Amino acid sequence: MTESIDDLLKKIEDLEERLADSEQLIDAIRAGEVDAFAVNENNHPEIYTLQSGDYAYRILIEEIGEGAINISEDGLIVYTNSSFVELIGIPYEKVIGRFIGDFIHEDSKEKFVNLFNESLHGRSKGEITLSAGANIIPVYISLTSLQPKLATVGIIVTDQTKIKLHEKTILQYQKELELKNIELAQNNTELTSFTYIASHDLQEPLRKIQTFCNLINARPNDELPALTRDYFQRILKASTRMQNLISSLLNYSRMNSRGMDFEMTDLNIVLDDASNNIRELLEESHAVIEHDPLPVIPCVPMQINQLFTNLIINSIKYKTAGTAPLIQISARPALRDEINSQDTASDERGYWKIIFSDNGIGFEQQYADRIFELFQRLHSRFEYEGTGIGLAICKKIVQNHKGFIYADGNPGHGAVFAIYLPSTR
Amino acid sequence: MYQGILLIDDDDDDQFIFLAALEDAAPDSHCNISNNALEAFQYLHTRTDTPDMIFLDLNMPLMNGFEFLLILKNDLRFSRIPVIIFSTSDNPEDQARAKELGALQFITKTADIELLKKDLRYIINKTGIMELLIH
Repeated sequence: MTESIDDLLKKIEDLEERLADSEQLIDAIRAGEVDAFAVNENNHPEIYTLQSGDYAYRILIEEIGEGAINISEDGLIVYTNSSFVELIGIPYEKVIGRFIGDFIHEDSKEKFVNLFNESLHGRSKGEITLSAGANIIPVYISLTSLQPKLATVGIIVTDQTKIKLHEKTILQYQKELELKNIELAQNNTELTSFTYIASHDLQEPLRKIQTFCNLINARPNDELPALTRDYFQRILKASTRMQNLISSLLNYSRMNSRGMDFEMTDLNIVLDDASNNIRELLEESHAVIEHDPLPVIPCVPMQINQLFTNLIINSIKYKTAGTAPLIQISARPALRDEINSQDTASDERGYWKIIFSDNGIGFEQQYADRIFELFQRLHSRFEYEGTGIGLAICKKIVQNHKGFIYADGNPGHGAVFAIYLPSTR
Repeated sequence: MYQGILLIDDDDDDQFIFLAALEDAAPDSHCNISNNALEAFQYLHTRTDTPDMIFLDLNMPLMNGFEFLLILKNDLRFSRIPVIIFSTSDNPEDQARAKELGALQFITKTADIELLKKDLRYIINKTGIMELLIH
């Protein structure tokens, strides 16, 4: 044994001292009082960074979806997380130690320098474009100077590619929408000029035909052979029919949803007005109108007047021969189930259901949709006069009010028209 | 009675119909015709006697009836001539505008010549005019 008892004792004492130091350090680490310590070994100072203190943050930075890098004040990348590496698509070892400038797009360099200088006094934020190989990546960066503790700047890099793509898509949609609007405005202008042409130019020659037929028909009998007179009367009748068609069509095209002035309207009053407008027809046909109290709803009174008028005229026109037309009008709030089958139905709105039923000739249910189409008629002109526009106008008016209209027919037992109109706007 | 009538209308059928109705409604009157508003101005400027009444179409090429009416009513030589609009239009806006520009009456062309004769009898008769002026 070369070592004396004294030496051994001294060694034990030394070791105990170091153990106590270590325990003290461990206690300090556990308490979070230190996050790094230096050990002097063989005259080489070595710094150990404790994981406990910033471990959670470290993991957070590593795992975060955003890119996180640390650059020195001269722009050298000293740290990168995996997200940044993934973002620029360059291996880790080719990122660390490179200058940040190598990954910044030519157009953004000046802006980055400004942001960087700004961040040295605190923090800065902005949009730049990264460039790595063939990748051009729009990003949002937020820079924070880590001084005085560290002579580096921390940068959080948020990928803007998707956002930019969405922005681009939205802009594209917006542009398309603008184009569609222009197109629509043009169509409307065309429609207006069509309406003008229909109302003036188209009716002009027709009026002439009628005028001269009238003049001929006014000639005394001895001047005009009976057959010739008959021909002219047929011409007159045909041109009158054409005039009716033109004015109905005009009426239809005027029933557009532009410039609709909605007002709270008592439908009882509208029905009275409509009945008054066609009083002669009602009296001639001995038609009877019975109705429930009708609601007050937001609508365009003129249009609802037209709707009621057309439905009543329709019932009178298709009455059962030898029977006075009876038109019954009822109203009640619509049930949810009745509304839900409609694609265009609003979930929040309530609807009124207004039912017109008559005792006329009815129709085959299979034609229930067709009767609302423009120029669709179920009868020849010889049976019933008409333009095939009246019910098409009804449908358009109801649509203008965001409502629905259905017809139920039963040949020989009359027709039922159900109208659903929103009770609020 | 208004005897010297000037009709300004570019449509020869309407000229024919108007003359036929006028002949029946006011046999003593005589009617000159201009095929458009510019021709009418030319006519007015070359005549020493102004017409007693002008019947004016609205929809005409080169210069429409409204433009003619505006110029006529601002010319002291002609501003007192009563002007009756004779047009296909049944548009209330056109009627309001014609009134605003100083037209005395508005006749919408119809297929019924008897109706036109009735209107002409009423308008060309002086008492009729006075009634119109009062209204």
